[in-house]
Amino acid sequence: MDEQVIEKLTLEDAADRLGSLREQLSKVIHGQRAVLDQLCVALLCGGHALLEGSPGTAKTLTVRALAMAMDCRMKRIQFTPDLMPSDIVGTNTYNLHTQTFELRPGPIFTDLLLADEINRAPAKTQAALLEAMSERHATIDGERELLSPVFTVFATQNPIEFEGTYPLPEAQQDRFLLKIPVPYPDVDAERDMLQAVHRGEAPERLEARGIEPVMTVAELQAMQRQLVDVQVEPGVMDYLLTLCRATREHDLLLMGASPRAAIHLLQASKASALLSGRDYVIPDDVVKMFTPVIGHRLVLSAEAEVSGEDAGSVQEQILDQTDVPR
Amino acid sequence: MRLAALLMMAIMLLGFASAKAGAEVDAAARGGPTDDPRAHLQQIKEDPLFTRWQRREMRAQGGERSELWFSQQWNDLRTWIGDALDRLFARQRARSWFGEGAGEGLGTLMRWFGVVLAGVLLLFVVLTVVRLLQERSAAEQATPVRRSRIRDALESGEALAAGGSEWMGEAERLAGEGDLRLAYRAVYLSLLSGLHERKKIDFRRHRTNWTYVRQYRGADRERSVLAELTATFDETWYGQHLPERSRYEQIRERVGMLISGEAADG
Repeated sequence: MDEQVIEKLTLEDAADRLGSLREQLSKVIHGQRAVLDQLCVALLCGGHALLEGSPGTAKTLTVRALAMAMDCRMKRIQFTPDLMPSDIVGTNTYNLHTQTFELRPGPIFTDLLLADEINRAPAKTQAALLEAMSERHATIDGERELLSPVFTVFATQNPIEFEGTYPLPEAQQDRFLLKIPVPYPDVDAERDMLQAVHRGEAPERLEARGIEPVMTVAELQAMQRQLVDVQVEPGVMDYLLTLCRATREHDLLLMGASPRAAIHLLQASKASALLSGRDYVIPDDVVKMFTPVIGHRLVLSAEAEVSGEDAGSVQEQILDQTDVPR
Repeated sequence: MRLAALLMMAIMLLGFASAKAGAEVDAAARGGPTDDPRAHLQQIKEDPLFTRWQRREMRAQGGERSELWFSQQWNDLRTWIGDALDRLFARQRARSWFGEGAGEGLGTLMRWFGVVLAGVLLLFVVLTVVRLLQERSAAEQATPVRRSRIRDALESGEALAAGGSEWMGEAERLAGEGDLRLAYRAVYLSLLSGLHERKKIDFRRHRTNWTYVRQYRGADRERSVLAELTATFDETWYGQHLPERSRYEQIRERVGMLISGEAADG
């Protein structure tokens, strides 16, 4: 890990680094600009992201490519029904030679963690990850162990209700900054992908794709600090707040956005601004991040489900009923 | 007083007409002369009502010239009414006995119709004048209300609350006061209002500025000008980066060009 400390980057430098990062990722991920942008937002906020998409849409490959382009550590956990908490956080093992207990850290001690099919693990195992996600530390045999300062979880889950899955509880979903839908690529992007394979390029061999490290962990931390300087005009702040509060008062929703969700929306909007090379948030940033940040936290009422409504249409209604400040 | 005199005259004339008809009946019954204008004139002069009226007329003789003119007019009107009534009664007689004289009756009706029409026209003119005066008064009072409404709209961002030129006027006023940030806001609202009027965008308050850029109905060149103006507004309003005065003037000019459709040419 890079120990160098960078106090601050200029706005142009930050935009330049982030642009380069997206460029590297697009070597692997074709036609998924929105997904790449949201991954960058998650990184800038130091938040965790839930990637949801059908099998085979390069979710795992994306996270691997991200780690490579950032030149940072990355580990993967394949969640299964028999996965134990110690399999995630690690355990103390007895060393016969030294006759002492030694910590064998689990895969959670990394910079980027890919939690594949997180909804296949039981609630107890999911809870172990929950603590690490929110507190950025893990408790092993009563001892607290700090995690990486840029520890970020990218969890994947399938949108289809497979047998043997454990749906993430609302409290755990609320810990995720974003839920990033990973759609199928469009026809041109898929054709490019097939032609690359036809030329002999193996999709999983990232080295062959020429991905280069373009950002360091220290630079990422500097950009995270830079978010504080991104301005939010009072009208835009009120707009964001009105949107969040509207979810709590909507007839079709049993549960709306939590105060933590409002904080996450603010952070994500600021990160979106920085990603666009601005040091101020505009309403478009808020609108752009509203669904990825808020969508997975909403719980529909029974009446809404019976009448065939979905969370997406409710979010659209809320956006359509809220005046944009200008 | 004039009205009272008019009414009195009408009553007298009606009395005269009925007395004339009665005298004809009495004379016919007595077998004497049926109509003697001098005798009737004498009867009128001896009537106490006529005497009182005559005294008042005499007093009025010493009045102003306008009073004399009015008296003359009044006498003409009285004569005209008397003639009209005579003709009316004559027509009735003719109709009942011989079936003639219908043309005279129709002429009288037409004359009455003319009087009523003139009255209605006069009433219409008076009401129109009154209404115009009221409107002018309301307009004088509404100017501060209008300005207050524009300020409210500026506060809430309701671009359609005023026309493009009104927003520009407000922007000029704000720029004159040195508040360039608010002036920018007014100019941008002027742009949205103007483009909505030209049906280049559909303004809705829940839509973001960049939605209008994406959905702009016009040439690509115009769209790029709109994008540039939107970016400048974002920087000024949301980013609170205050512009130079010269920059403001340029932006104002470009907004005017885009609204008028000149941006596509230039």
